[in-house]
Amino acid sequence: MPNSYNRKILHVDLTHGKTWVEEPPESFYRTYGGGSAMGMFYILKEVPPGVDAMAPENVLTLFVGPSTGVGISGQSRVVANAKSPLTGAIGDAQAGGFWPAELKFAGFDGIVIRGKSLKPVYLWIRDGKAELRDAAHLWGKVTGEVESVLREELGDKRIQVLQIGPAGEKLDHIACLINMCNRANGRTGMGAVMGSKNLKAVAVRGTHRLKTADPKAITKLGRLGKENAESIPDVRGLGINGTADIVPYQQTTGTLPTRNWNEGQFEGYQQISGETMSATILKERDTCYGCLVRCKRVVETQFEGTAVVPLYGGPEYETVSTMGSYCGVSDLNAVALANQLCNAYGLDTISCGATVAFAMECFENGLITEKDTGGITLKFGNAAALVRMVELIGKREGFGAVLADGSQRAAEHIGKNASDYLITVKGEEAPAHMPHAKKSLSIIYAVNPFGADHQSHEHDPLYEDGSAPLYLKRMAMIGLDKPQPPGSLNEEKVRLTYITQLFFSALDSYSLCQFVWGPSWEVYGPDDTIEMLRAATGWDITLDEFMKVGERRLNMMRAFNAREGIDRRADILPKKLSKPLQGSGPTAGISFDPKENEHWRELYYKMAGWDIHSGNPTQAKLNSLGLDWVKL
Amino acid sequence: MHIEVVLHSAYREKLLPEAHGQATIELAAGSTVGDALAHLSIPPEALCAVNGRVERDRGRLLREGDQVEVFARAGGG
Repeated sequence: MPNSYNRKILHVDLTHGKTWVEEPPESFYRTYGGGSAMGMFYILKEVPPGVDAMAPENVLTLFVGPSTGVGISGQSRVVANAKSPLTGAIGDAQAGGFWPAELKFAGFDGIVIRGKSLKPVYLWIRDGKAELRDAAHLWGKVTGEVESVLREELGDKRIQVLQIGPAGEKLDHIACLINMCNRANGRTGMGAVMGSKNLKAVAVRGTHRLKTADPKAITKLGRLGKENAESIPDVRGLGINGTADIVPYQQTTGTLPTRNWNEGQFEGYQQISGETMSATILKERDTCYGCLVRCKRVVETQFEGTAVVPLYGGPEYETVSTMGSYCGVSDLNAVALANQLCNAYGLDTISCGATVAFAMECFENGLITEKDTGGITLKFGNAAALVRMVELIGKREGFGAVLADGSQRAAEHIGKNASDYLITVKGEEAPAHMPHAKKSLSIIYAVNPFGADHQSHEHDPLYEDGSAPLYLKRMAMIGLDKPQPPGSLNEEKVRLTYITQLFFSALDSYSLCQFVWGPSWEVYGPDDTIEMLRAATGWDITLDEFMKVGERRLNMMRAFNAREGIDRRADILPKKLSKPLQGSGPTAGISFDPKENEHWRELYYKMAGWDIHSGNPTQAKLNSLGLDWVKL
Repeated sequence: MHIEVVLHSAYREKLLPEAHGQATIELAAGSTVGDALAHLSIPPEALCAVNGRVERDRGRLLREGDQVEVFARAGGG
C-alpha cells in the first residue's frame, strides 16, 4: 500500500446517528486519487437522480489527497462535493488551511456524509475515532464563537474546525463551509447542504504523522520550492500582497469587473489593491499547513465603528473585486468588514458580493426601491449599504432573505427584466476574471460542470506570446507548445481550455493547491507534480495517469449533470456578455456572440470525446475511463 | 530622457522601499521598453504597460515622460 494514504474513509449516516470506517483497496485510491474524484465516486453511487439538494439523500463528501499533511507546500487542501442547491448541478468547492492536514493526522482520507440528523449535531474525530455530539448550544452562533466553544469543551486548542455559519443553518444557497474561521469551501452552496443535514461542524484532531515512500525526494522538492518561490516573480508577489496582488494587472488589461460587469476598469482600483492592503490594514501574512508561499492575509481595521479582527483573516482578490469593484466600492475597510461578515456567517464571498452588485444594478434601474430594501440606498459605491446588505444576507433577514439564495433566484423574485443583469452560469455567480481579455474564460465559464469557475483551467496570458520561458516550457510538458497571440480565441485556445482543465481537474482530485502546483506560473511545474506524487505514494505514476484521473473526475461530474437533465443547453454564457462592455480601456466595446461561443464549445465537446448534441459523456467514453459502472 | 516607472508586486523590490514602487529613471535618447526593463534588472518577459496600455514589443521606442508600469501576471485567484 502507498505510504501517504491512511487507507481509511469515514462514513457518517446522520439519520441513524452512525459512523463506520471503510478500508478501500489500493486500486480504488489509484483510480480516483482523492479530492473530488473520490467524492464523485460516492455521490454517483448513492445520490438518486433528481433528488432535492437539501434532501437527506444528498451526499456531502469531504476528501483530501495523498500528499495532504506531507511536509511540502501546497498540499493541505480539502474538496467538498454534493449536489448543489445553487445550481442543481454537481457542487464543488476547495479550501486550504490546517483542517485538511489535521484530518489526515486523525487517520482519515475523507468523509462521506449522508442522511439528516433530527437535531443539530457536530462530528468529533480524534485519532481514528469518530462520534456525533449534540450541537444545540452551537446552533445560531457565528464561526468564531463556535470554534472557541469547541476548543474549550473538547479541551484542546489545536483542534481544527470545519463548520457552517448561521447562513448554512438557514439554508442560504450561497452558504459555504469555513475552517479556521477564514478558509472557505466557498462555491456552489455546500454550506446549505451541510446545514440541511443539521450538521454544524466537523472538529478534528490527530497525532499520527504520515510516512512517505521517498522522504529524501520530498526534501529535495522542498528545497526547489523555496528557490522557485523566491525566483518566480508572480509567486513571490502572491506572498507579498496576497491574491489581490493582481488588481493593477486586472485594471490595466480591462478585466477588473466593475459595477456588475458593466465595465472592466474601476477608478478606485488602487484603494482596493493588495499593495494598499499591505501598506494599510495588513496585520500579518498567514499560510496553510506546511506552505511557504504565505498568500493568506490577516487584517485589522474598522469600518464605521465596527472592528475587523484578525480571527476572520483578510480579503482575497475575489473578495476585493466582488465586494469592491463589482459594487463600485473603493473603501477597503468596508470590503474587509464584508469579508469578515461572510466568514462569520459562512457565506461565499464571490456569490455574496456578486449578488449584492446585481441588486445594486436593479436598484439603479428602478427595479427595486428603498421600499424593497428596507430603506437601504443600494446604489453602486455605497459602502455602508454593501456591509449592511451582507449582514442581512448572513442573517437571512429583510431584503437579505431575497438575496440569500443567489442572484438568479433573486432575479426571479424581483421579476421584470432583472434577469438581464445576471452574471451567472448554471445559476452560479461568475468570479472576478473577465473573458473580455482572457478569451478562453468564455469557454470554461460555459462548460464547467459546476458553473463559472476561475480555477478550472489555466488563464490565457500564460499561453500567449510574450509569456515567460519557464511558463511556456512547463506548458509544453502537457502538449501545449504553440503560444497564441494575445487576446485571441481559436482552436489552440480551445485546446488550452480542455487540456489545462484536465490538469486542474487532477489537482482537485489529488487535492493540491493551484498556486503551488500547476502547468505554468506556479511554484512547481507538471514534472515536479508527478515527482512529488511518486515520492509521496510510492507509485510509478506518470503524467498521463495524472491527466487521466483529471479526465475521470470531469467525466463523472458531467455524467452527474446528465442524470439531472443538465446538458449543453445549460452551457450558456450570461446574456449580458453579448452586449458591448461599457467604460473605457482595452476591453471597452467587446462582446460575446452566443453563436460563436457555441462553435468553440462544440469543438471542446469533440476534444472531450463527448456527444456533440448533448454535451454529455458517451457510455463508451465512460467505459474507456473505467467508469462503466456509471450509467447515464 | 526621463521615464516614469511604476512597479507592482515583487518588482517593487527593484526600488528602495520608500519609493513605494515609483521612480523616475534617466535613459539615453532612443531607448526602448526592453532597455527600461534591463535598467531595472527586470526580466524581459515581465508584463508591462506603457502609458496605461499593455506593451509586448520590447523594441518599442520610449519618449520623454513616458510611463512604464510592470505587473505580476497570475492566473486565477
